[in-house]
Parts: sequence; structure tokens; C-alpha cells
Amino acid sequence: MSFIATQQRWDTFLAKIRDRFYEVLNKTETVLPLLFEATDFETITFQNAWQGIYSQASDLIYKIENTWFDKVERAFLDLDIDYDTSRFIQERNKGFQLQHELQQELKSYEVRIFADAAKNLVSQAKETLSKDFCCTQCQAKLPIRDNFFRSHYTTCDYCQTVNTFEPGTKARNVEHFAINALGEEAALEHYLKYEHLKFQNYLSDRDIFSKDELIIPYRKYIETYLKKRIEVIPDYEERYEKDLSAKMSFIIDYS
Amino acid sequence: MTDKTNKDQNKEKSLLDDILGNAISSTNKFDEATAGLETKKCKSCGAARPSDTDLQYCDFCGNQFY
Repeated sequence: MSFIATQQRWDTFLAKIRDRFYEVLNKTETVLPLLFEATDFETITFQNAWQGIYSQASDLIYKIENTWFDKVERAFLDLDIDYDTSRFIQERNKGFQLQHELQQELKSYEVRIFADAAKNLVSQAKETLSKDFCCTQCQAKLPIRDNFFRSHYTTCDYCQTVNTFEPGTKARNVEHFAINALGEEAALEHYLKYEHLKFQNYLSDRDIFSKDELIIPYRKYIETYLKKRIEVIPDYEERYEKDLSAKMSFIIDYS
Repeated sequence: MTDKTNKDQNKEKSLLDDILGNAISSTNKFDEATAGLETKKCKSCGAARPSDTDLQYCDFCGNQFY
């Protein structure tokens, strides 16, 4: 087979992967929000369904790398095109570029679909918490905050009875589910930039961007994520510095 | 060609249905808590717990809460 014919087969394969990837994601875009509403904002079912779709999309992405190393690389080498030639590198990078592009797209899609579900959940929770809650002893109205999603004691100003307030499963899920999704949405652009710089290093097989340069977008990502979290639940403010340093240690100490 | 497209669409539909079906059927269902209030009351005298007291003894009759 000639170089042109091999190249065309490789290009066709990459185009098919791209089409199939977007086809999978487009089909699920309308279905997942419907599932979330149909299960009355049940987050575990939503996450399990997403996991299935994510696996399908990830399998497609990794098929690029696997096909290159299993078959395509050999096909080009058999045409006497060496590893270090520009033609070989160009063909290999085409696959890696698409793989990176689809990974970034999958991350953006995941963040968007989770953030949309999260906004829905937060508005449901706020609606519940804005209702009137009365003291179990004297029926006086109790002040319930609409930005605190855990069970807590609240004392009645009239009869001094201690009431235990239970916010309910939906409101609790704001903390377990929604807050992360909203933080990820706010910080997405910095995360994508960090991944893009890392990819440039991988593609050129050397550190074009130093560790210090990589830390800049990663730090912005973490800071934006944590600040968004505080915006939704102000109580997180007091542990901001601790969380920032814990999350930064991931890249400072382990990469 | 049309048959192939229809076949692909059916396969696609069934894949999505399978994923969603599995997610619904394999997820454990737990009772959902609803928003509300409750008050710890003494089993002996029925008094509610006033503020600035702990959960050890009833402030009115001294009976142990737990």
C-alpha cells in the first residue's frame, strides 16, 4: 500500500472516530436531564448513567492511540518511513491531537451536563428551604438559612426549645453533588488550559512548559473552584486556605 | 444503504437504552428524607430540650435522655 493510501485510511479512521464521538454525546445531551427529572433529582442514578456514557466516549478516544500503536505505526514503518521523519511524526501527532481534542471536549461536556443538573437541584433545594418551618412546641416561625444544606440545631426565639432541622435529601445533595459541579464549571477554562500545556509537553516529548508554568493555570483552577464553592455555601470560607494547600499539593508534591 | 443506516440507528438507540436502563435498575434506592423539624423530648416528663442544655439529662426532671 502506498503512503498516500495509508494516510487516507488513517484520516478516514480519525474522521469516523470524531463523528461517532459527537454522535454519542449529542444523543445523550437531551436524555440525561430528562432522566434526572424523571428520577426526582436522584443523583446516584444520574451519575451511573453518565458513567456508562463516559465509558463509551472514552473507549472511542483510546481507540485512536491503540489503533496507532497496534496497526498504523507498523503500516507507515513498512513503507520505510522512519520514526524521526517529519512525515511519520505528523501522522502520529494527528492522532494524538484528535485524542487530546476529544478528551478536552469530553471534560467540557461532562462539566456542562453536571452543572446544568446541579443548577436544577440547587433551585429545588432553595425552594424547599425558603418554605416556612415552625417550632415543634409553639409553632413560631424559625429562621432557616437557604445556603446551609446540613442538619443543624435551631433555637426558637419564643419558647427557647431546641429544634433539629433536617434539610432533606435534595438539599443535602447540593453539598454532595451540586457544589462540585458548579465549582468545576466556574473553573473549567483554567483546567483546560492546564491540560493543554501538559499536552504540549507530551507532544514534543520535552518540557516546553516548566512545572512552575504548569502550576499557574492549575492554581487558578483550584482557586476559582474553591471560591465558587464559597459563593454557594459561605461556611466553606473558613477552610479556604487549608483546602487550597491540600489541593495544590497534588501537583506540587506528586507531579 | 438505508437498511444499514436504520440498523445503526437501532443499535445506537438500544445502546443508549441499555445504559439508561442499567443505571435505573442497578441503582440502590433509599428512602429520601424530607425537609422538616423535630425536637428531642424527655421520655419521662415529655419536656422539650431548652437552649443552653446538653443531650445528657432532661433540664426539667433530670432523667437521662439516652
